[in-house]
Amino acid sequence: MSAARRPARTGAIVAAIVLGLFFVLLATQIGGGGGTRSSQLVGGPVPEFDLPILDGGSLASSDLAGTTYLVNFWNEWCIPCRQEHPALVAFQAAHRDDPAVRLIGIVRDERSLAAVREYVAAEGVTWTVLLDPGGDAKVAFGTTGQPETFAIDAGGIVRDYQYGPATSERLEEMLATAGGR
Amino acid sequence: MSAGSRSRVVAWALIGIALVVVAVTVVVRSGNETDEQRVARLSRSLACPVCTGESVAASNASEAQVMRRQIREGVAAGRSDAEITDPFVVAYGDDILLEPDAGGLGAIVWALPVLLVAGGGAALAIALRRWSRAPRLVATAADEELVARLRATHDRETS
Amino acid sequence: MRQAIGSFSLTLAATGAISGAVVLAVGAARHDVRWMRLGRRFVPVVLIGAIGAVAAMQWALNSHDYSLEYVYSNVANATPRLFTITALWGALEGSILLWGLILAIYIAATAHRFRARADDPVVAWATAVQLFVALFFFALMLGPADPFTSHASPITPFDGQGPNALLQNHPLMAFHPPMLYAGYVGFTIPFSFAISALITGRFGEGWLADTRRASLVAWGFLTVGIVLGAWWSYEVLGWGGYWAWDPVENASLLPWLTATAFMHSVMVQERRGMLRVWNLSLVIATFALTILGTFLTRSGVIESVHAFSESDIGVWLLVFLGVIVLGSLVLIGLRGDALRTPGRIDSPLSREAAFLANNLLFAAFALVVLIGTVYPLLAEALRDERVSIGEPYFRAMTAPIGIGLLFLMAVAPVLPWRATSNAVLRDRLLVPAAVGVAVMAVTVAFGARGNAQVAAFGLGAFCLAGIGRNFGVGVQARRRARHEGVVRAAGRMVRGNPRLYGGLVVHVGVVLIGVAIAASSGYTAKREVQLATGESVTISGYTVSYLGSVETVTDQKSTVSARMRVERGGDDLGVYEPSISTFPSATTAIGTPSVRTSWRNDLYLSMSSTEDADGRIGITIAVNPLIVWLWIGGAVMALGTVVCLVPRRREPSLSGAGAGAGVGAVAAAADMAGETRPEDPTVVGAST
Repeated sequence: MSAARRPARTGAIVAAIVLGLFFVLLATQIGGGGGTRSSQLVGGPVPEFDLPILDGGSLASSDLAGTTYLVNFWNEWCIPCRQEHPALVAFQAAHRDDPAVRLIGIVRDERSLAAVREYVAAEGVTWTVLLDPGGDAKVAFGTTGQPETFAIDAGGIVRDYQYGPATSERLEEMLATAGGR
Repeated sequence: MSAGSRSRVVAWALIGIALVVVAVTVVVRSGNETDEQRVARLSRSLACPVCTGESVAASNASEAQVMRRQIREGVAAGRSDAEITDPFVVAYGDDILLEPDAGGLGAIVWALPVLLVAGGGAALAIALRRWSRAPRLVATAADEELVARLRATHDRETS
Repeated sequence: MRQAIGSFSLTLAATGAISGAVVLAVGAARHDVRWMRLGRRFVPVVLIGAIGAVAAMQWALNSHDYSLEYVYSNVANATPRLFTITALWGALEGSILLWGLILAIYIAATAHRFRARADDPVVAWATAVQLFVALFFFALMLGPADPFTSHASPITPFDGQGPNALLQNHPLMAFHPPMLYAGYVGFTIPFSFAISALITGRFGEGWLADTRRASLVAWGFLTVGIVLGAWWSYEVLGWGGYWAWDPVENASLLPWLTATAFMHSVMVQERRGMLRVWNLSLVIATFALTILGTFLTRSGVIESVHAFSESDIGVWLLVFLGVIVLGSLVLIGLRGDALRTPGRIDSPLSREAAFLANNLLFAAFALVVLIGTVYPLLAEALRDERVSIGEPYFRAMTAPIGIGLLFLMAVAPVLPWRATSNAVLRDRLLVPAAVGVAVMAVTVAFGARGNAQVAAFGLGAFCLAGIGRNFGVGVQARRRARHEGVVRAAGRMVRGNPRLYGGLVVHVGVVLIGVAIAASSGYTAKREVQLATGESVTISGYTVSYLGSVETVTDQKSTVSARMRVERGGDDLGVYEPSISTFPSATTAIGTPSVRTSWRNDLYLSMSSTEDADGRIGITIAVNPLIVWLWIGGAVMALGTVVCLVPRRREPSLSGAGAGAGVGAVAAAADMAGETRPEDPTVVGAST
């Protein structure tokens, strides 16, 4: 029996094949999603920024040419940031005397400047802390939360990215990826 | 041609002319988009990066607010659409764009519905043409008689 | 206790459903009347089980029985009574419970309606299919979506977590989901009769007549549910829009589109016996799309603002969907070709040709929505790429389809069946077309811009004028023939053909909604500003001043309201208070907009941030034109649906002296109604 004379059967068979494949594809997506987060910026130039420093003055991305540095988005009310804090302290202690390496914190979604100052003083934050009052930096870096950390090499290229709190080892690894050691 | 039908033809012609004038006016005028409309269009075309399924226009998240402000600044500075949206794509990736790319696999999203309408419309047109060319069924004497009989019965019942 | 009653009721309903489905299927297959009669008796069992389960859940919710996980997660001591009751459909398990109850009611109502045909295998098979569907949902509740699960900790908590903050913010929450479900679930009835027609091979037009009302009821509920959903979005979500092409919204629109296509194409089958396979497919597709929508939004494969609950029922739903769709396709493959009739359409200028074009556009609309919704999934599965599809795509694709549908809606109702002459068409369309073009000219003269907008206004007016002419001509004819007053003539005319005139009323609602969508999508004025106390901003003639903030704290939530004075043209329009609330259970604050509605436009105030260090609040002010006509249009559509459901009253024909004029008037009315004149020679061809 030719297809032309049995259009309903032909149509049903075609529809069954197409929809069957569709269902199989849907099935593969159940429970999907999530996965590890990556950053689009890795491999490309660091976004330009020019932000006020907590202690006064300002710092621009152009000032950091030739330096290998980590940019850490954080704030004082985020619990995972507090968990990450010892690793950052250790990193700063290890590289404090190396002029070619810097750690820079950017306060993301600041709620109270006083609380930031209090935290910086109480928890021994000795690295440069930048403020992002307009939110331009958090968007330029493509962040969706905190903490998030980026490693930038001396040529101003983003080399590594960490979503969520990093360990000491991870921070060192990021620095190494950016050629800081 | 009677006077009535001639005035109808004139009326239709007037409607046609008015339609053309309106269409030309609208098309000429729709060329320039106001800044406000541009901001609205661009914020609708970007996904809020921290939300689920909301556009920058729809979300009240701080990231969306920042992006809306940056779009407004870009529009005010006279930058092109691409110049305004590119930094967001660089930062967040292609899926920040709510409009699928017309190339590659994305093309099916645009093409499939158009193909359906075009193909369906063509099939319909061909079928209608074939039907209208095929001779209509001609009523036989028996049919005429059947109809006449039914109509007679119907008239009797209803009057 | 409540848990025991609930679980027992669910088991009862599931047992009733499986027993009834099996007994009825066996009876129908063997044509055994006793089995078929026995099978029907399980329908009340299912209904009792469903009512018992919902009652147990309501009891538990209202007595704050936190030993149940569902109650603990969705209600708190401070939750107001209304939202305690609506918590039944605030999360997945409860939603399915409500779904089960509505389905049981539909099944019972159908069984009651067909009680005189209990021995008919068509009815028996249909009931068996309905009970099979019910079985699936009750099995879900006994399996992965059990609403009566105990709370995990052995100690019963003193307070619950309360409903999702977005769900305890507006009373529309009480109406929107039940309406939507009543729509979704109702399509089970036409679906079951379609399957029954395929199984029994009785493929006349019988199943259409049997399910016309059920389809209409379901369609009406779905329409109202969708409009209420849009209204809820507008009043609660606070971004000033009512439709975001979100997956959950799309999931409700998809079955509506195929069901609407069916509402039109079914008339071609009734009248001409054509499109049988197509109509079966539309009914099956509508039902399948309700399940697909549930799968997409409840399985976690797609993210959405409306998806308030997810769980591992995805696999169950997908398997059920596969069974439904592939089973139906097998039946169509086996039976479909025998169903076909050698119909033909005589002229492109005929009602049936217009319905075909309508179906083509609705199919394209549904395809656009479906592809736009699932494409991100497909791209991820096939190419491991993350893409998003949002408003720009849907807007670009659906606007021309919408315009095309408006055009058909203006022209098609004046087309007679079978064929028409150009002269008749020119005659009937002249005035409506002139009105349409005049309205376009006026709107353009007043500064309207945008091709789609101006086209929508013109076609809307065209359509309304056509409908007005239709009513006017019919009433006039009756008045002349029967010497009735206008009101009486109109009333009797509608009673004489409620389906036609109800349909036209629905069209009026659609035009209102179409025009409101066009206006609000093109001419919204929106500003986002920071205001300190005493500062004001002017937008589209409204001057809005910030007077200061007020904080109120209750057990349920703490709220900061911004007091905004609104003035227009020197008139004080009062103080409006958009607010931001924080709920103890939620991490993010929820904004509640404040809206001043008028016939012309809405002033929409939405607070984006509370006072900062400089004492400035962030506020979004939008002036949205014609929004109120969306909701009015929805109400008009509902009214039209109700009119369609009114039984047709046949009047005795005129007699005596007035007979001559009467025949003329009836012919004129029939003509408007698209009936073929008795003297039309093509009538003979129709029966062949």
